[in-house]
Amino acid sequence: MRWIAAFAGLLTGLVIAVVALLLNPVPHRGLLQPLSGDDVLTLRYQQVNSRGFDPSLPAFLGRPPYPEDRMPLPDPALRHLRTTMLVLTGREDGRLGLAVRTSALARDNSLLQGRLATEEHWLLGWPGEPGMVATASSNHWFMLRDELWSRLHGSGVVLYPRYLLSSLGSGRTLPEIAAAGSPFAGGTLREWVEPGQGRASHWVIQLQPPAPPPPAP
Amino acid sequence: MLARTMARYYIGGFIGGLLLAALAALLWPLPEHHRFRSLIDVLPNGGRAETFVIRWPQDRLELPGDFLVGDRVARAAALGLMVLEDERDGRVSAELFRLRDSAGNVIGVAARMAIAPPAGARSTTDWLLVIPSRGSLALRQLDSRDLAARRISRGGASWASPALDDSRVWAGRSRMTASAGPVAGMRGSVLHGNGEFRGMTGRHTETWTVDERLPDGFARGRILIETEMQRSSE
Repeated sequence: MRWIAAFAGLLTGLVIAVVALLLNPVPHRGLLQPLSGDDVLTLRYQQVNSRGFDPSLPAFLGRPPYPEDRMPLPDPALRHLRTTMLVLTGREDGRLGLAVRTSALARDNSLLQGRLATEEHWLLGWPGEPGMVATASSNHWFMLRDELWSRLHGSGVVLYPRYLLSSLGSGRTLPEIAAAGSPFAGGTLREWVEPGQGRASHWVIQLQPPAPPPPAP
Repeated sequence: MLARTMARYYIGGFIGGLLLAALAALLWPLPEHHRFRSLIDVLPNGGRAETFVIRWPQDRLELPGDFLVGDRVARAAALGLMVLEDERDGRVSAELFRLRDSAGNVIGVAARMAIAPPAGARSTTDWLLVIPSRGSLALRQLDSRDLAARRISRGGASWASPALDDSRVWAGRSRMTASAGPVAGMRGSVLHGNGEFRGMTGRHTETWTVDERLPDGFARGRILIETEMQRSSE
């Protein structure tokens, strides 16, 4: 009887600890809010041409599923890497651009801190314009947490219409754009995903040039 | 008495459950990137030299899926190549490769984006070298010719990266320097570094070498990206 009580206590403790972990407020502090202003360039894309690991909970926990249609990257150094070619569409003018996005599991992930992140490396180009390179960090914690909840609940319903991904990187670094010859050089980037209810999700990135220096007195 | 004993056992189990979950979260072996020993030479000026290698066509990364974004976007899946044209015949093409160190180990992926102005002018190329265990390195160069992908109609292909897949451009030679500036000596420059490469400045040379010409007009060979870098504070 005493051991049944101890076992019931153990189970209760485990459940409460897991719930506390999932509701952990710490990851909120590292999330970066969307950009605003007239100079923000907003671009949308669908992530369809990807190869490599799938940013799922098992993949972040070291058990990546590699179904054949994902076309894994079997080289040891590439096992936790995903690369995508995509077409960007300007939200305002519909202008098309090309991008390569490479995501690598972040080296400072932590379950206790609610950080299941990827380091994002972007290469962006438009015909007739200087290209851009951007680096950022994306924390998938909230999206994976709600996916898990949705599966446990059996509803398959996405809880939020938008999940912010951009977060502070290792060493609390901010997203940055390198783009010699472009007004966006030295600027910043944000990204979020709009999960589709029963259809394809859409990703959105925002690019913003650096703030102009204050006028001389 | 029995109730108090049961409560003690329950609370002990409860605390044990909390600790067990916390320890599991703390000690769970999260995946790490496999890292090969970095093959870096130290230069007399204190900088570092490192050479990256791409073998084509076997290092091209094919991608699944299709794009349906109008007729200005083309994709050659088997080549890991994508091209976007604008109304004035400006092109931007993206290619993906495995990236090797000078010993031939696959250490990361390399993305090449060439942007060509309309008709005849030379293209500009941005390279993004991502080495998951180390970070990323972005390079920019003015090309020695138009190196963005272009339309062809040969061997069942409709698009090709000209010097990589079209041996006609190799007539009479087996080696070509693809970079032509902006640094003197036909060298490109380091645009950005992240992770271990953060704060690096320097220059690079991109060289293409043909190892074998194939009867269908394509070729096999290597791309060498030779970098010389130093930290900006050095």
